[in-house]
Amino acid sequence: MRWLKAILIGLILLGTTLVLSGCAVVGLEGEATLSKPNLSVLEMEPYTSEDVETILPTQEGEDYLRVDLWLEATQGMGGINPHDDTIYPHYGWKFREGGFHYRFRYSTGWYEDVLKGMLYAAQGSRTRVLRYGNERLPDAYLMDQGLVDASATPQVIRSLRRDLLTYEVDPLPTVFSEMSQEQMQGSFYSPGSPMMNRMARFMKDGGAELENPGMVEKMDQALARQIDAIASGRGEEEELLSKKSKEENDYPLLYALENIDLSRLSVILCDPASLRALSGTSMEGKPIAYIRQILEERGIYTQGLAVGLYVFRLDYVGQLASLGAADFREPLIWGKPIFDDKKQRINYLAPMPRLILALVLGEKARVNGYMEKLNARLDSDEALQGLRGPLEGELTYTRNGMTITQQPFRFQYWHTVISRPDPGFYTQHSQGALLKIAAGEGRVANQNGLQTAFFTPDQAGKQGDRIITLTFPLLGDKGGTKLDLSSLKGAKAHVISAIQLTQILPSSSQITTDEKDQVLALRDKLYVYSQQEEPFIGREEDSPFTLDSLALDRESESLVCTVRVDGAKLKEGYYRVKISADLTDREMKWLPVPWIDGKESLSAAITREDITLWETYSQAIHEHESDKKRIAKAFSHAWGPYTNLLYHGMKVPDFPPVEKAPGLEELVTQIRQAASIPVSSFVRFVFDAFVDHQGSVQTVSPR
Amino acid sequence: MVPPQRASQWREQQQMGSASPLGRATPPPTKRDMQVKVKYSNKTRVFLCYILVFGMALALPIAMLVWVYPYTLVGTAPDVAENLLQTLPGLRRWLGATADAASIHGLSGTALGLALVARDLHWRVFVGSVFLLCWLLSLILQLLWRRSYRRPLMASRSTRRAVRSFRLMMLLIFVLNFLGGALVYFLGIRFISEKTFWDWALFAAGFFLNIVAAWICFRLAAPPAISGKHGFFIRL
Repeated sequence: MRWLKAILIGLILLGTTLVLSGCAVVGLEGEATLSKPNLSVLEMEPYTSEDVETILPTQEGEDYLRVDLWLEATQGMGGINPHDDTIYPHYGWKFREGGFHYRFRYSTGWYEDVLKGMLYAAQGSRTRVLRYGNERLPDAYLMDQGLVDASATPQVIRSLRRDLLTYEVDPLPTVFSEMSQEQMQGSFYSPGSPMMNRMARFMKDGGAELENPGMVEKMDQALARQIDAIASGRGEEEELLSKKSKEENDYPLLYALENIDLSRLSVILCDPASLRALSGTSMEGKPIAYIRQILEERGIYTQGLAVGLYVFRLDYVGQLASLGAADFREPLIWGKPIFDDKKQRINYLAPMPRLILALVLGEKARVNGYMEKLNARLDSDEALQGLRGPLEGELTYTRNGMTITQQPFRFQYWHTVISRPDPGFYTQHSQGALLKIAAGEGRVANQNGLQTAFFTPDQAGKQGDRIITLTFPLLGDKGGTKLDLSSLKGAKAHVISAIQLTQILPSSSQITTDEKDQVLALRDKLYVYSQQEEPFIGREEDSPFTLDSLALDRESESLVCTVRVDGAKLKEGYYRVKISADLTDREMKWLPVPWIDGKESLSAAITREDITLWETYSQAIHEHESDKKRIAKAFSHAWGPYTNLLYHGMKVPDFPPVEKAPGLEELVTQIRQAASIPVSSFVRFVFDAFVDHQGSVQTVSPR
Repeated sequence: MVPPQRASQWREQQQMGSASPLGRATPPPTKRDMQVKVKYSNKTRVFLCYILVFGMALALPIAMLVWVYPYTLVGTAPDVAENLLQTLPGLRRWLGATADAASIHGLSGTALGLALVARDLHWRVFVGSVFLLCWLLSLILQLLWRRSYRRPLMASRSTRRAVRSFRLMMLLIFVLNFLGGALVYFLGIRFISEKTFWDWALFAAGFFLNIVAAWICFRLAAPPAISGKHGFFIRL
């Protein structure tokens, strides 16, 4: 029994050791097992985003810049009276033509300096000067001249038309000097001017500088024939002149926009007086916005281009035969020579202020770059400094029943860029996007590539209500617009998929489940969790997630989205929630620009009543003054000062607003409408929500 | 007292014509006597008793751990490797990797599932190992006790001693299995939430069976020297 004794002693020693060390065993703090399935085993599949951001296309980066300078050559630009039978002489002691490009002795209008500045701003690029006006080159005429055939694409026809309108390529600044003279007959601005045909200059190198080099001879013949037809009075008949009196939507700006080369930077000079009608009505009575229509048809904004707008206040001396849709039988005299007291010599030429527009179309970065250079040039050009106009109040006109005495004025310009607003596209990948639980228990962590909110129940095992906030730093380029989400509709938070408990089965080797199901085994039960797509479709009221608000926080410059979580509707498992919102043009409000649609607007509105009144008065002038030897003082300039006296039974109306830019506000409105995106994706944020039962494994005490 | 003879000795004597050792002629065997009767000796019965009793005590708990546990207690395993390391930090060198495999901190999805499976495995291995050790020690103690009483000398005194030592050995075996059960309890069972019948059946019954098996073998499989048909130690 010795062995028994040995065993006893050994056991006593072991027992003592165990007792002494047993405290470590007894006092051990361990991790309790869960009495429910460990839901952290559940896996949500990675999210593959199907949302595509509307990225504005940009043109392929070119190493060089090509600039087209479209010079409007209408008679209004040159101050040319197109009527042969008129009481006013075209050139004489008291009356001059010239318009914006007037010449008097050694001085010229600011317009030429602006053109030189535009050429300067395009330095380093391939510059082309094109002439466009009231002359037309219809497709049928080009086919008739053998320049194109019936199968020619619009791109080919536009290219040919641009060549036919080309005045000069890589010009020197002196090119503008030849466009006008004191006597404007046959000038650049005359209807059907011989200066339209410059093919002789391009023939020297076989038309290498043109877009279609091998057709110089044919183009020369076509232009020659056009000039001849217009000179012979067949212009309108052969549709080689704009149908001014018949088609309200046939005017030079539309003609230019229809033919510009979108791959180049196009600078279009435009006299606002030549904008006949900016909108009309179709045969079916549908309203049409002509500028917006042409911009959308050419895809200016869909191709990621931008439109820069200039308004220049320049000096003008000339005879305006039309203003918008109003045609005057006798022209409006605006600016004239000022004589000495004895009226024997001209002291100086007193121009009057007029506004001219310039559109700069092209890739946004290039538009901005060009405008920056032009602005710097205009600000530093000494030729644009100083005052012009009647120095001693010699010239007046009537406005709002008052006589306005014109004071000397300076050169001024205003500019803006209208680009397609980019409100930003907010997703879970947006920089700085933050998901936070603003109210209620829970935490947020990154899991599966998404921000995931973890909800655990309270002590009583119930899920409380929560408020989740999504915060994004503001993105995008508003482009002159203001984001107003107060009227936003259709934003929602919906559950795109969920993993929920669908079955509890007895644990057995013979149990089979779907491959996609996730099965958690605990004791003698199998808990089957299935993924359901769009689980609340058709019954959105059962969804625990509701979008409360989507608003801008101006102070922190962020977009804040608030989602309310109904704890009573939460079930254990996973939810994948998508916050989506779309913007319409209602939410992107264009900020008013003071000189366009604000308090200091340079725009003027012309009504049909105004047109009727002015045309009637102008006709009356022609009828009653044509047979007189001298022109009445009242009609020597701007229908004279204000008077109560009737003119052949007619009240003398206010002078038409030639010093303003008629239609400017509507023009900009249509450009903005073309730039606006009807509907754009704004928010597509996806996050996961994990709803646990008591005792999430994530809260186990550390080692 | 005439020592019993074997049948072979008796036939040999008959063939040699020798009389019985007492000189008296024995009657010839009857036909009935000539039939061979197979009798299981005590050794065989004792062997079968050990196989059956200790075998059952071993097989049942192991079988329950292997085949019953996955369908009754899966997913309830405590982190026994970590608990062991907290008790005996010196074991980290051998158990560190094992504990890490069962760690679920910061895990989710498939990784968490694998860690939980590892926990289940570690727990079952631990319980099985502790039980096996207790079973083996119980068997060894019982066999050692049996060996010490195989000599037939002074049987009466030996039997009395055997009874006393039997009680002592039972106490030892009881304490051994109790300690084993306590170890399993403190390192694992007490951390299981909402324990059911199966928890106790799988993790504690084996130790009880060890004690019962040892008691049965003490009483039924004692050496012939101290056992008898109507004795304290019953001879099979």
